[in-house]
Amino acid sequence: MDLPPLSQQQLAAIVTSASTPAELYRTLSDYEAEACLLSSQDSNQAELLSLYYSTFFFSHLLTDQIYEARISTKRMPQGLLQHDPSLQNCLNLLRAVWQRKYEQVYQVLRELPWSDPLKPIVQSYEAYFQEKTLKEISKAYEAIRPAAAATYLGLDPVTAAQADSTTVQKLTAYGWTWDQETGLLHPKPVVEDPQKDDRLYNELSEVMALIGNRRS
Amino acid sequence: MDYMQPDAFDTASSQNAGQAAGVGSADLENMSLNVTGPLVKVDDPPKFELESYIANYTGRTRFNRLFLIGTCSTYLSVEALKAAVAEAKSGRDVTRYERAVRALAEVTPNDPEAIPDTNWADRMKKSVKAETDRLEHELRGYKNNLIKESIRMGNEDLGQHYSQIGDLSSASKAFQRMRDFCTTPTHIASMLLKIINLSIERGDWLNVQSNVIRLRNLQSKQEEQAKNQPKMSAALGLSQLHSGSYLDAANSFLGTDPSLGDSYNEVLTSNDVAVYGGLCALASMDRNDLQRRVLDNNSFRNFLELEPQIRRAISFFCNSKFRPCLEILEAYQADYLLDVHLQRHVHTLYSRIRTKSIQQYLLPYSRVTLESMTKMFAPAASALPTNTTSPFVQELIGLIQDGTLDARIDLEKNVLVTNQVHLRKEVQESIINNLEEYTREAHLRVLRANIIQAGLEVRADDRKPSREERKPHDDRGKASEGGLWNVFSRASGV
Amino acid sequence: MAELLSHVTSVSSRLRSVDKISDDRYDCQLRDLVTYIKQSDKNFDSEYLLNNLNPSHHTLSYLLMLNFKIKYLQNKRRTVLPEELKPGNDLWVKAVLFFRTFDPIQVRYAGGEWRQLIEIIGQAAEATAKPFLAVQVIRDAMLRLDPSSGILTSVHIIFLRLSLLSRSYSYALPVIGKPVIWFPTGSVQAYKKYIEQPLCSELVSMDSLLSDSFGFSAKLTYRDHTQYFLYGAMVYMALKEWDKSLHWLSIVISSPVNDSVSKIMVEAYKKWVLVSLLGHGKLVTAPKIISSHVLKVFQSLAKPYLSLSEAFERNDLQRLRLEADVGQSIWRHDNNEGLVSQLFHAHKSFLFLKLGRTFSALTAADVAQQAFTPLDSSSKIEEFVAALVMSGSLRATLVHLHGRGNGTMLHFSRLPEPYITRERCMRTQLAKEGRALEIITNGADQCSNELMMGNENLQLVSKNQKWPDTLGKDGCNIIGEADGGGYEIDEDIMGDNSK
Repeated sequence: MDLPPLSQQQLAAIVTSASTPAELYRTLSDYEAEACLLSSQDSNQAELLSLYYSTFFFSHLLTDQIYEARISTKRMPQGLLQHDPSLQNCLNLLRAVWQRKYEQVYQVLRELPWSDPLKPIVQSYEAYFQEKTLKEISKAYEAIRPAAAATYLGLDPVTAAQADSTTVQKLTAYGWTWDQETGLLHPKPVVEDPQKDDRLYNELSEVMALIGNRRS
Repeated sequence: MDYMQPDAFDTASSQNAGQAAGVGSADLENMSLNVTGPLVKVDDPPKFELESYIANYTGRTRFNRLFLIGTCSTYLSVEALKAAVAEAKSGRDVTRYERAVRALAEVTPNDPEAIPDTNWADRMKKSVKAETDRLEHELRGYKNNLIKESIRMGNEDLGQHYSQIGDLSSASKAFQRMRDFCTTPTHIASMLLKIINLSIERGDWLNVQSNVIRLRNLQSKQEEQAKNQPKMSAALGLSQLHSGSYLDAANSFLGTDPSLGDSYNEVLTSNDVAVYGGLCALASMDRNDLQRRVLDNNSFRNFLELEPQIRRAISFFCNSKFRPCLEILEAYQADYLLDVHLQRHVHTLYSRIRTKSIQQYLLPYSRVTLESMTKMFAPAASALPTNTTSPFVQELIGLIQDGTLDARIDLEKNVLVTNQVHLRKEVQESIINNLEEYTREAHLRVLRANIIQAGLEVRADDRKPSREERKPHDDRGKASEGGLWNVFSRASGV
Repeated sequence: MAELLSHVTSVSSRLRSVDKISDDRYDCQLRDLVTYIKQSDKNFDSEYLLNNLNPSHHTLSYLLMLNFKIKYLQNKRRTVLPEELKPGNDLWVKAVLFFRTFDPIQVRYAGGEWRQLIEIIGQAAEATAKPFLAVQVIRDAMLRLDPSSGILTSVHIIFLRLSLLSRSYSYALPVIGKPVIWFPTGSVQAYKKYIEQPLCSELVSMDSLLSDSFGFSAKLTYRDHTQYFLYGAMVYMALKEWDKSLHWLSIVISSPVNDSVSKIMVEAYKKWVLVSLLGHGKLVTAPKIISSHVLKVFQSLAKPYLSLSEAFERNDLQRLRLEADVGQSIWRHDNNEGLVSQLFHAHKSFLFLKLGRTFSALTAADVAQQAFTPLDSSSKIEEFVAALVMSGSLRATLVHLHGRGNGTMLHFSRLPEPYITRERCMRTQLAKEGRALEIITNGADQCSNELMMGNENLQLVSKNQKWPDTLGKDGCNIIGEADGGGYEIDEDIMGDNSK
């Protein structure tokens, strides 16, 4: 029941051992109470807090909880949030993701200085974001100019605009088709298989029975 | 439950009354007082010839019609106003003479006829005054002698006189006073008809309706009833037309007996019945009903023969030839705009007919090109590109957004696509919605019952159950004012 | 001391499950234990005892001891919150441990102490500006005590307030996700006396336990329940769950009133207007059970909100901006600024939904002309639509056009999603609604039973019926349902009522 105490090593261990983002998020949120007890005045603890909250923030993003991520920034010690560079980076990232400014998202992820312990999770978020965006554009667009697609996916829009083969190849690898004549890419929607739940079948008949009972 | 009903009924009917009276007073009285000037200007020449047109009418409606044409039609204004001046001068109503002259002076300031004949006016005023005094005096004499028939006739004469000089409200009062002195159903019928005609001129449509009903319920001889029927139907139709219930109006006009002939020329002609009835039917009935109840209606055919273009328009509509139908209506628009009763309704009637045509046109298709629709319904705009700037497309957008058309516009292929129904999906969605709705409603009601059962109803703040209970909650409330409520300030943008 | 320890550990939840002692006996043991501890010499070393007690096995002893200790310290330090109780310190840790592991059966015998402990934890967390710490603890404690959480207690209100204060909105969801149906009643319905079970019995339903004077809830007033539902609605607002928020606000504004509406209700109505716009793009019809004069009072007190909503519904962006600017100080005063500022985005989104009902395909340039000021460039519009589509709030697809400059075509598809996806989605939804319905209908059934068996109804029935004649028929049925017994209870019920 009791968690091992929060420390930089423990955090690193959690990040590497978590098999899914959801699990990572759950484990980290269990630590929030403990983090709450630490003081941001103490410089050692402040460092740990910064790392903890940044990691926690990314675990929100990785599980697509953008509102929660925003709310979590409000729960952090506000003094720390204002002065800690990592957390400031997080805020910038949040703003870009929230407003769907794709260029900025990639810029923040790639160009801002992230501390070493954070780098793995930043990279995994970049990959996650790219893939999520790819799924979304494949659903939203029937035809898209390579430059636009490149901007969404954080590729170089200038070379993409010239329809260079690497960009196009990258995208055709996802099943997209390339129309040489019109210079447009036709994405193929990624259909996600909804999770099947056998319970539902039984419950549905219960509902119908219930409705039947009410009627009489 | 029962005692609620009369109440609800009352409010509904009084509302109606207000509306109808409002419409009425805005209608004819406004026009006869000429406060704001004509609202409609008609520049196109009408198809009728003024002289023969006005020859169809008798009585005060002649002046009203002439004056309306004179003030609304730019093409006929001088001719019509001159006729109106002459018409007024032949009568005894000085105010309408003055009005006509003033209106004429506005159009042709230099015309000799535009100078008011003050001499005549003064003379007429004196003579009118003398006549009024004489009639009032006579009536007083009859009253003293208590001879019913004389009192009735005295009132009738007085009413007649007041209506001639344009004092319509006094006229109406005089006619109303006849009521107690009528001895036979015939008398009552003639009195009611007078009140109806007067109410039509005053634009008091509610009064028209109630008196028509009175007349209809009158126990009188068969032939008497048959004689009055056409007038009653026509008057009722007029009042329904003016209160905007076009379907009812159509039914009343359709039910008017052709024996009407020219017997009601002080109000309307048989031609008018054909036009009013035809347009109202076209605007309110579907193709089936139009065929069955209008075109195949033997008695109404007599009217339609007088106005063949209405007949043609209706049969075009029934045969789904919407373009020619609309073309006919457009061609006669100027005529109808110069009609004293139709003027205010032409626009609504036309747009309803048009909307119905568009709906009927779309019925058999799943998609129609905007181009062909423009050709059909807005040939003037067919040269323009069919995008959102086109007025016809804007019209369609309006129709879709107010739910008249169940279709959507495809601006990529420039077609109008009718919406397909996914029955299964819709049923599923409505089930979910109902379920949600039910659950919510049930929750609210159960909570309500339980709150009341627990004695937790909200009550006035000064009637607190006890002091000590109150304090902690007050504190809590205060704390929340300070801290909690700020939670949401600027919650949206990061 | 050891003797004392052995005494207070004599009753254990673990032993019970092993020994399978009867409910009645266990009940006696627990009652004895409470009396014993309460009467014993207050000078025992509670520190020692607490360290040696297992809060999940000896819940009752542990709780009572903890309370003694806190009271002792409070008296000694002359302060409500002794240092030891502050988050992270000794007693705090002990309390947290207790709430994580207590035995929900034993704790029934010390409801008042349980609640006091929660209250003091909440106060301690708030006093140290760390309300977050108490939120999880209290939540777990509540759900441990009553997993269905269907009855409103004063703890609920403390809990939601702390969640709002600490902005831990989603942490509140497990509690507020369960519909509240009952309220603790002050008076005990007479019939319940006759179906009494030992307090520790599994058969004692949570609602009778919480309703009656077991101390799990402080006495509620009408303010408390309206406040609770308003807080809950605010949690949902923060999470942008407009539908749920709207329902909770509906509960507040449709609360039964004796003679006047309360300020909380008016505030709720204001928020209700805004949430309705944000969630549905229009003012939804108010619940039918609100009486018309109450609605009129709301409307007259929330005029600025209604004119704002009128501008919103008329798609008059300029007027909306104007209204929002004019009312700035009002929104700020009512703390609705955030909601109002979200109206603009919502307004734009709903415009697109409307466009989708009018058009099946159009270019971004057409959109600019149709819906926005011409100043909005088509690339900006594309950005906005793309965001809507990609976030899944608009069913449409975008097509970049070849040749026609940088045009973008927007397709509003009416085609349903693939059959199988839709069906599954539908089934999930149906099942979810079904569960909600089940809870509510059970609540309704129970409520109607309660009313039927309530003192007032029985009084009415007894008045309306001539007892000697009909006792064999109707009277028997009603009473029979209650306890399966005969009619000998009649006299007692009447006796109770006359008091």
